[in-house]
Amino acid sequence: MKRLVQLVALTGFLALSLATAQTTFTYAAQADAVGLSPVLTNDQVSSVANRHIYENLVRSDPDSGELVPWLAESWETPDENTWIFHLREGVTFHDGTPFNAEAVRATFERIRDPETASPRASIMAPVDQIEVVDELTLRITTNEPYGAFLAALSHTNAAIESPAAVEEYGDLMRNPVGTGPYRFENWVSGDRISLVANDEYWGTPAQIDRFEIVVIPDANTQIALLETGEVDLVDSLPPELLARVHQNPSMVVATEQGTPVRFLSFNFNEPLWQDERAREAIASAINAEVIVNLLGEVAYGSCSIVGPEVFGYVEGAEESCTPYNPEHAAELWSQVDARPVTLWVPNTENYPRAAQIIQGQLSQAGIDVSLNTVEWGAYLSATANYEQDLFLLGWSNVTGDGSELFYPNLHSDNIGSSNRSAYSNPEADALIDQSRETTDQDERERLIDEANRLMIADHAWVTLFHEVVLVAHSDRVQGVDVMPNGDWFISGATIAE
Amino acid sequence: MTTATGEPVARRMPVRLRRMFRSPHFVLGAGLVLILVVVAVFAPYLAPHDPYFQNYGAVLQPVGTAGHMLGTDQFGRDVLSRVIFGTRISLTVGVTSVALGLLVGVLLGLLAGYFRRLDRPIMMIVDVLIAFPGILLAIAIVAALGPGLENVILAVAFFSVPTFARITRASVLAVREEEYVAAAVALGSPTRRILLGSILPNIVSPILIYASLRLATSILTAATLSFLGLGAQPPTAEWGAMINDGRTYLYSARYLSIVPGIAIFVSVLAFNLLGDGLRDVLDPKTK
Amino acid sequence: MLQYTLRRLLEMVPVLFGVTVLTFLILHLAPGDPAVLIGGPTASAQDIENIRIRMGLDRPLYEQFFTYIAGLLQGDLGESLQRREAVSQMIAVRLPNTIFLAIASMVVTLIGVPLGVAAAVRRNGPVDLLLMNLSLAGVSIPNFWLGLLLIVFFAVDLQWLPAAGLAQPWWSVEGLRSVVLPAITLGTAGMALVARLTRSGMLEVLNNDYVRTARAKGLAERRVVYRHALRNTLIPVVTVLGLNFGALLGGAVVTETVFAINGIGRLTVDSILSRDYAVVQGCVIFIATMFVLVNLLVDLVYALLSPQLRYQ
Repeated sequence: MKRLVQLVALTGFLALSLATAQTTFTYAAQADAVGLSPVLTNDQVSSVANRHIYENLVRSDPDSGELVPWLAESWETPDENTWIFHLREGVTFHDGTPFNAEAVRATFERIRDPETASPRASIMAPVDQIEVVDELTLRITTNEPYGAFLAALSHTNAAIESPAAVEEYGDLMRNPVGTGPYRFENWVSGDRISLVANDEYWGTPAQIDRFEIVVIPDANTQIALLETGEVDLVDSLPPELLARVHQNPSMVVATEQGTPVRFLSFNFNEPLWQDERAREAIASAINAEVIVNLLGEVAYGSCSIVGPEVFGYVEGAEESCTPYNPEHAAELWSQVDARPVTLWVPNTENYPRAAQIIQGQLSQAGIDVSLNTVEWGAYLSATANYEQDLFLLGWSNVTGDGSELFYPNLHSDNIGSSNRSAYSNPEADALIDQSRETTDQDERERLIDEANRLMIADHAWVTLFHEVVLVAHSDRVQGVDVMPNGDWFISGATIAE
Repeated sequence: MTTATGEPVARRMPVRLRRMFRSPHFVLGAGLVLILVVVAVFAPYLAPHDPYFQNYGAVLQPVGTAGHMLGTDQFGRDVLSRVIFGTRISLTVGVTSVALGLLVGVLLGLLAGYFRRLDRPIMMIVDVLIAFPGILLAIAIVAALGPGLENVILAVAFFSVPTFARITRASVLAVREEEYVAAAVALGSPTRRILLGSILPNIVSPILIYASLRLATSILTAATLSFLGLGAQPPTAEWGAMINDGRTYLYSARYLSIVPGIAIFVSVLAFNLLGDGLRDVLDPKTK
Repeated sequence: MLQYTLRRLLEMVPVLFGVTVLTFLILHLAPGDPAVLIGGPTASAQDIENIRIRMGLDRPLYEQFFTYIAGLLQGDLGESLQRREAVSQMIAVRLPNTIFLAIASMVVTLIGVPLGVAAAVRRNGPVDLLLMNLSLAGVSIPNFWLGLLLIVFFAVDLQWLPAAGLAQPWWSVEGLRSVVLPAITLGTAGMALVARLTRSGMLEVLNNDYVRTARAKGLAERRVVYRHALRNTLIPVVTVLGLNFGALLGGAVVTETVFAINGIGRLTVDSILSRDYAVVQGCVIFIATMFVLVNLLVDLVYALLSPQLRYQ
């Protein structure tokens, strides 16, 4: 009741402020969003917009990081292959369609449908049947126990779309309709996306009236606009520009140790890298600390594959790491069937920078390495075809769950696609399988930790650093929620005139 | 520009030599090109530091720092040394790509100009290549083959081909009706001899002039591709790539983008001057 | 004249067809796979296969080509693989920015005409020398670097002009201010070229008989220069300007990148990088068509300006 009064008061206040002045929040994005259908996209900018337009059954809490009920109020698992979700009442989509079990079923079926070609259809792979029990109850049965299901349901790709809108438009790429605190207003392709606060929102309505996403590819320009107040928030800033932001007293830098990890790995199809001594030589020749220091605020060190912010990390996992020791590396390298090696590097983000440091460090250990920097599009294809020798890559861990990191990247099931190392270790496979199947979360944590230590010691990856999620915004804005997986929300934020 | 007189080349040489040194553009251009070549060849002796040596103790040192005349970059590498080594790369890319484009283009032009049957199909291909937006063609080729210097050379060569073909064809058409060609044909010389022995030497001037101007354009295009992230890749000391790298520091360390830009400017200017000078010397009518 | 125009229009068809085939081949032989890019690093083999099927990339190359051509003949440029947005729509949204930039840099380029005249009338004088050397510098300056220099001095240091984007509407003060730096960046090389052409054209004409006659008749020098000489000089200049404009409509890749302008050039490059075949195809066909059309237009203007050439 008290809540209701607050709500009414707040709505009244909002209506008042609406009558007086509109508040607008502007975000400078590096690229245009690919599309505004959560089912069909997974790029960062689309994600920012979609997180505000759509909602999931569960989400991770901005404060605790725990998975909490959202569009689903509660759930139960009568047996390990059955999930029953009780949905929130009184929620409607922006087009007026009521949110119900049928809408959820329709969305999940669409993700599963091969014809939809969702880039993350795999999150529904273990699902067998989706049944509507009643208006607000949904039963999902799986083929095998699916321990990471809740985490998967919090993924942007599993956000719920309005079935009526899908019926009308075919897909929601250009016509998004969700249940979230902001609804879609307009999109000038390549230039800007405009969202407005959803007055009918079921929860606490957003306090900022308009949310504009403008495309500003150059980071220097982004900061310049932030300084003049034309932009309120920027993310993904290169570390060398942060000093400029810090110098400005009217700017706030919000950081959060994140889930994304950046690593060096091996092409295990190469005989050289099947030799554990060769991998150990590389691992002991690399001093990741230098890279972390150079990147400054945007990276933090931990040689664990499963990062400190990811579910399944247990303190002390780093004990399995290979310590930095160039002499030892040189000695090992002299024992193996050594040859000049090539490090493949994507030409984006901080990879070229890290690569140049690694090249220097490896050559100090007597390892002759040349760099092959490749444009991103060609890189993804080439590495899936195992054309590489050594390579750099990252994983952003949207769901923040260790199984969701291991299965695509290091399980032998995915050799030929996302397991770009062609890493195959039956022992690790077994642990990963169990961690995916067990629904007991404590047991899952133990299994992921065990797999983590096993693969660190086996040099499946040489972890370089974990990313710090960093957004810079003007001090006019208060209450931006920044999540470890790189998402951020302005649903609870305010902006001063 | 496409004027070609029927006189055999050799007889005019001494006049040309004299004219050469009277053309300030030629002297200045040739002088600058000579300097560039010397810098490129002797780069290891001229550069004060290893252009790839990283020193994290001395990153982003400004211009004028002791030991680093032009400062250091974000890895502590000496900018002057990188610019010096960059000369090698730019000249190599320019010369190889123009040579390739010239070879293919001149061959196509000769064939199109001499054999009436081949004229239409060849010029059709040339028209397609010309209608294809130049830099986009280069970008598409680089995207297809993957970024990297070898592919930049191919891409730049590729879009030199149509113009070389056009110039050659026009010159061949002008020369074909000359007496000495007719004489060679009447004497029953083999076609290859006529093309390479009688025609080619007499159309060298416009091709040479264009080649020099084209060198300028090629260096510029290669640098542009690298600037867009499609050409030379880090850590290669290539001027365009250096400017792109330095772009992030435009506010704090702008010399990182300005210095390599001057290097590009000077070398492009050198070949443009040379081309202009060559035109004064070889083709005085157009002056 | 009409017959000539029609013949030229017909001749465009094989050229544009060639451009289409060439683009298609280059794109499809490129190593990157659009399905892998859309799937991202996370996608499973099955996910990628589904995407490939949805986009029709599993079908044989010739079949994909004929489907595309069939659509093209009906005026359908297709849909972005990645964004599922109509390609024609994507081009249409960006076209105004590109046209605005092209027009503005044309204005810069045109400054070359009076500069060329000034140099020609004072042949070999200090003004001529200065202008001609400057123009040589103008064609030699890398335009991306010029753009960065302009940003550093006029946007960062002096803060006179904006560093990025084009403001709407064009005719507003903001719009005009925003186009100044990109227009200079894009137009400088053309301006230098036009100045040189105008100069050499003027010199040729000024020595012609009818100009001498005009002078002999005692006409004022200014009048001789502008009335008689310039008009005849303009013919080759118009040709170059036209070709330049055709190129500007598609070739502003670098300027659009440096100044973050949402135009056709940047769309093309972004689409090449994301292997969005349909968009690249559409852009290249559009740009090539513009280029060929402007070429034709130039030839027609040329024919009008010099009647003796018309019926050749």
